[in-house]
Amino acid sequence: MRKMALLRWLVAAAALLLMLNSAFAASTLETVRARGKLLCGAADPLPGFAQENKDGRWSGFDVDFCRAVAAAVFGSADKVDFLPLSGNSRFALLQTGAVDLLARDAPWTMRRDSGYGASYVGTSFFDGQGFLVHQSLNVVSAYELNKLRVCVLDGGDEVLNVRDFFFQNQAAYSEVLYEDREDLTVAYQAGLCDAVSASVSWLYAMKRALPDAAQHVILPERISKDSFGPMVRDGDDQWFNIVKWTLFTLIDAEEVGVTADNIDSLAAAKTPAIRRLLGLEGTFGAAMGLSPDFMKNIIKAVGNYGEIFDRNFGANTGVPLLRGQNALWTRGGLLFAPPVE
Amino acid sequence: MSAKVWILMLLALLLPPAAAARADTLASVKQRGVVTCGVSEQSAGFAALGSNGQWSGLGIDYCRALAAVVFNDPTKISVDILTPDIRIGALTNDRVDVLADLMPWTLSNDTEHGVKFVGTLFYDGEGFLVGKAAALRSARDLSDKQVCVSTDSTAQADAAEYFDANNIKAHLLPFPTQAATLGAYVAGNCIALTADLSALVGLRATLPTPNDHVLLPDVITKQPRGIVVRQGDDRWFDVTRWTLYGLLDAEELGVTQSNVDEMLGSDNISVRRLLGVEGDFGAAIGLNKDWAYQLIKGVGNYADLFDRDLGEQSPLKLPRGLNALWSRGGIQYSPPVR
Repeated sequence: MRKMALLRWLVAAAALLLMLNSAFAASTLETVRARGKLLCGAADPLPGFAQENKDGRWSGFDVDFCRAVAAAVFGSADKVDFLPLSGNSRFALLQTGAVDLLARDAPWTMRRDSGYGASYVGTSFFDGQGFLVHQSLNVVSAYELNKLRVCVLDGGDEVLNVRDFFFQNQAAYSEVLYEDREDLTVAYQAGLCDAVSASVSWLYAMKRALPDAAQHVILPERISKDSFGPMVRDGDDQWFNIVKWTLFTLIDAEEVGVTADNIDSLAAAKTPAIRRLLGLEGTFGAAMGLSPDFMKNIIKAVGNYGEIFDRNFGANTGVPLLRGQNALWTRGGLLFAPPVE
Repeated sequence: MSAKVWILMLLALLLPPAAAARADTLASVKQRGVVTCGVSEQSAGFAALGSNGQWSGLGIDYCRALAAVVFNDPTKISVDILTPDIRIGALTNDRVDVLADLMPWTLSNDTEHGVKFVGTLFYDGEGFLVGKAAALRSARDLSDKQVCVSTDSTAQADAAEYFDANNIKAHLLPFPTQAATLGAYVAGNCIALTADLSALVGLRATLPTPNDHVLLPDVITKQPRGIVVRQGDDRWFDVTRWTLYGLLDAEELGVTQSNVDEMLGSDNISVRRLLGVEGDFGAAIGLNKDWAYQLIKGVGNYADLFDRDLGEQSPLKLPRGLNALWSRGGIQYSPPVR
């Protein structure tokens, strides 16, 4: 009897340790490969970033990044399940391995970067708080805003930023405060305020959902600095590198002019930077457990950063978003990636 | 053998080896009492030993910043001079805690050696040094002129590609070493010398009359240079990453070495968070909540460092260029302490 109890205890302990062992020792790359697909999470659905069509297919900026990582790992962008995750459980799902990465979470802050066993690999989208106004106001700059009502979320940094901005500009305004983002849209549409101030990513999604979207404009100024980017769990530097260099590949490809359309015609290119990106020179993927043509597979599948941006936020959406800070560093923006060398 | 021993043996076998050997650089740094930084031999503006026996330079100042964050004392550093061939080994073998020799951040450096780039401390790139008397305004003016270049780097190939792509008919005059290249430039064999900006500022400083030479505005390659740590230690990565971001955030918020005490009374919420007056953002990575106050008090913000080591306050007079903050025409950017 006593022996049986001991045996049972032993088996349980062994099973537990094996689980721990695989959780720690098995690399994310091995797990993803064994599973045959990538599990890619993101914050709540948001038009432009992640939306589901009638057939249950997801598309958007976040989804394209997930597809890029799948292309890097499998050579096929379709081997991915996209999981939009609401609420605050995203970090726990990342830590327990329920998702392999978060394509988009909340803005990059020190707390989120260091406190939850996860890290940002880099910035994929420069955000920031801005203003949305009706075109009939005839303003082209936030510095022209004066004597109007501004809808803004109460109780956080956003209302403080608005107060700072108008105080520094010595402009008059009144606050129309709400606790939920959805209320901002309703109030603005009902004419309870003349402008909405929130993060540009959210203003953009809001604008896109308006029936007369073209009648509204997001002003170019940013009154706060916010950025977001893909996150991975701590403890697996190989996976950190894979996700980071997927992002960098998208940016570098735009910089050297390699697109999904022209990539097949570049096999005879002489420019070393292009040849390296296509895997024609060097053996860059091996150290990360990837094939030498992983960058080519990424670009072929989803295009470069500019193509992804245009597909999801460009003129073809009917609601174009300016590149702004999300333009390349060579074109007045902040997007930058170390070179493929 | 008793059942207990069996169980223990089984446990030992099953324990994940990675967990057993998990590195904790912050703990060993604290125990040792100094941060050990790997730097290259004499590199003006980045790591240079002065005649007074004092180290100076951007890499050294970053190390002091780390020491200020960990020990509240920027002097608690130990400098280890490493040649390029042994620097990565010195890091992966625990001889140094951090590489501050401004290694180029590239795909191969980032992924092939078991190390990890913390971020970009200095955006470098290939530029051109010319005599003021030549009255050249841009790289375009180098057509039909001789340009000296050393063959011990990719500078020659990159310049050739740039001239070709931009239809500039300059003639590259190659030399086997940087010293020989400089000698030819001084002798007047070429009108310009091309190399990375980080090298050019040092070379210019060795000329008899540095002020007679200027950098052309063109920077023809991108060469981010960064701080490097070992893989496998996420907390140390966070400490080193946020030390860099702390320097940049402080500049953006206007917190300097000279006003930091005054700024403790600021009512700007971002300043209060940075300085640890509001919230505690250090605890999660093993630091005190006033880590950034200690950082700025100890060494200053990024602009303080740049000006002192490379910019206006230094003999090198390098313009900020890409190393200006994102809000001032450059691309230095950091997430906020929040």
